[in-house]
Order: sequence, then structure tokens, then C-alpha cells
Amino acid sequence: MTRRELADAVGVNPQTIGFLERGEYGPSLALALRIAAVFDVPVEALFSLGPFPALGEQLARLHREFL
Amino acid sequence: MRNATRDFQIMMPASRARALSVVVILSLLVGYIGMAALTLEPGPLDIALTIVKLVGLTGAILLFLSNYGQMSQRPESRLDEREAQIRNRAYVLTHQMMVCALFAAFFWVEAAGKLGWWLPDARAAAEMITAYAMASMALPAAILAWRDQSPAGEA
Repeated sequence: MTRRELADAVGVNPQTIGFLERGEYGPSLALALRIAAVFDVPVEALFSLGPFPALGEQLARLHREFL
Repeated sequence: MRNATRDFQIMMPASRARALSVVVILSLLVGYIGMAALTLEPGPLDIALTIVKLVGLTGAILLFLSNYGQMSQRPESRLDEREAQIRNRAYVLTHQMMVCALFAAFFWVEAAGKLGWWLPDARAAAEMITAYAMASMALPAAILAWRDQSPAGEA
């Protein structure tokens, strides 16, 4: 999905998606929920108050928990 | 939520809008305030200041028609939440600057009356009010351009 397609889907300027991607803008709850709905994931999968752990760390943790 | 309607606007990169805003503000200061402060007979300086005023006026119109100027005028229903937020901040700063200028003028008039400083006559006051009005028109777009954090070329 391109930035413009996501912007059109949630009704914002494509620049705003760029600001969200770079972590330079905190969206309203309504916008965060609209974006989560587009990807069909819970909102906390996309937005967090703190930085997300690196993907490698997450995979290693899952590996430890389930194997 | 935004809709697909497009306004007429002159697409201007932030760097050009910033440079234009500097030209406009300097032209307003030099042209209008200079014309107000100096009592000029028709002559080269009068013509030069008139040209500076016209440059400022043209620049203010261009800034008004730019993407930044149009963003400052667009109905809130056609801005997304981030755009509305940065525009509101630009208007708050414009309001603060214009109120400060107004109070400075009030203090000057009060002090000048008591201390015998220069006071504008009707012609000079008209020049200064015109500069004030043009500054209030140009400032929101100028502030939006100066505060634009988008990477260059981002759509």
C-alpha cells in the first residue's frame, strides 16, 4: 500500500502519513483507530507511547517463549 | 475529513516561500513605514519607496496565492488534523505578533504625546495601517512556510 493510498483511505494528506511514519506527529485516537482498521490490526500494534523494540528482539522473545 | 476538491494555488517549495516572506516583510517595513516616517516631495526616493511598496504588495499577493497562503484560508473541514493543528499555531502566533505591534503603537502614541516624539499625521497613519493589514494577511502563510518540517519534495 502506498502512502497516498493509506492517506486516501483514512482521509488525511499524504504528508501526514509521512509525519506519522517518522514519529514526528502523534495522531488523534480517531485517526489511529482508522489506520488500525485499514490494516485490520489492534491500534497498539501500530502506535505506542514508547519506542517499539526492534523486530529482531521481538522475534527472539517469541522464540524464547514458544520454543 | 478532507475531500478531493483542489484550490487554485501556486505550488511553492518552503525555501521559496520563506525567501518571499522575507522580501514581503522587509518591503513592508522599508516601503510603508519609510513612506510614513519621511515627508517626501515627488522625486527619486519617493519613486524608489513606491516601487518597494509595490514589490511588497505583489509578494504578499503571491504568498497569499501560494500553497501556504491557501492552507491558511482553507475551511477546517478540508484540512486533516495535523494541518489544522499547525494552522491554528500559525494563527495564534500571528495574533500574538499583531497584538504586540498594536500595543507598541498605543504606547508610542501615548509616550510621543507626552514627550514630543514623532507622531504620524493622517497620511502616515494610513500608510502604517496599510502595512499592518498587509502584514496580518501575509504572516500566517509566512509562519506556515517557516515552520514546514516536511522533507523537500514530499508530496
